[in-house]
Amino acid sequence: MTAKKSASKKPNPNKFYLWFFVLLLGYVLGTIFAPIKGNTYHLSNLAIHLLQLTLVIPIATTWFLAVFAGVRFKRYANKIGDYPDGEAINWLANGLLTLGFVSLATSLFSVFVNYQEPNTMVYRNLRIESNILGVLAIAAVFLLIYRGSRRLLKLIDRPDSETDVRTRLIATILTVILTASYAASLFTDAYRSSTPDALKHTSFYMSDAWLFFVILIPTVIVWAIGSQAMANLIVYQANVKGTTYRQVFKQLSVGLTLVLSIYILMTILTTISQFLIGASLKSVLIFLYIFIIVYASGFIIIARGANNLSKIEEV
Amino acid sequence: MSATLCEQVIEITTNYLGPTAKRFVYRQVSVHLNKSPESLDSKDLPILADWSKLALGLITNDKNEVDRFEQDILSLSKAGGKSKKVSA
Repeated sequence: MTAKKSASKKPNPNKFYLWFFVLLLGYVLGTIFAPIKGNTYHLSNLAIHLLQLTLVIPIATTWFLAVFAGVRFKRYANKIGDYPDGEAINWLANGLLTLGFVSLATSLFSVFVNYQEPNTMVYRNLRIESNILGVLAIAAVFLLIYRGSRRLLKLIDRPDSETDVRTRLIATILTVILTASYAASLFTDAYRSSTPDALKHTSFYMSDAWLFFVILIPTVIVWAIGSQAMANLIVYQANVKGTTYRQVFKQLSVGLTLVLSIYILMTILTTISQFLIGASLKSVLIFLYIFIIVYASGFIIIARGANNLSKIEEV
Repeated sequence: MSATLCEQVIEITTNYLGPTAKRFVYRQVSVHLNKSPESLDSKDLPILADWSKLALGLITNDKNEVDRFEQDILSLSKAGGKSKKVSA
């Protein structure tokens, strides 16, 4: 009864949609009215704006799907109130909602940075702040999801040690591989500290020592937390009692694992974007669209999982 | 004694619905049997099994699983509400 009472006091998650659309409006207007600088593919202004739209629409759709999945998750968490699994699911829902808003907010910040003249002091400082804020923001997302996954794991009496060890070993190996790839791409980037053309090559505007301690180390710690969160969800899903519940929860764990993995891969890809400069527009767009589709699919799977879990509480 | 029967139903349901089992059983009993879960007795089990089967059928398409769930609840009635080893 206590749980039900607390659940009824929970705020309506639909308010997140309002905040999302306000921020999205700012992002869309900021992008459309941003001064056009640089023209790598020698396109007309109209073609550039149309190209922006073909990217803004699918990217904004993935942000919306993140918030949509988060709201669905939140509704489910509210429904089961203060039960132990409800608290855990609430942390996961907060992580997903934060991911949606952080993705939108960091992009909004980048749009604002693009209004500055490249390579000026203001531009450089904003770029540095943008990179540091990006790391902090994703740290918040991964910590929330990790905390939720730990709470779920505590609901299992004794997880199968073989699954536990194997999953964590795979997660650790993947983190090491991703870390090595990220460090290699970061420190082989000729323009990491400064760039002669900020429109063509992104730069961190930091010395190697700062890059190592302020960007690489925190990012790797955050990824390690994220990979352990994914491992926790997989171990929970494999060990939790309830054959039907396990099937339904699998959608959530698969979706969350997909979303977090793609996010990490995208972080690495942004550091090797210099290699994409030489590629044709068509291949760059195909590459981006594939990533966007897989990322969006993760959120759709999560939303479906949250819906199916809610169904258990309704029948 | 009745509370024990309710706990047994929850134990069986946990094999299918995991951490959501307690909420599921409480809801079925209070909504469909119109009584408190603590006052559940063995005469209620056939109706509870029917409603639970129907409810699980809305969550999963696995007919065997749904039938097994119903039989597991009904087996409590045959065992006279005494504790038994549950399948699944």
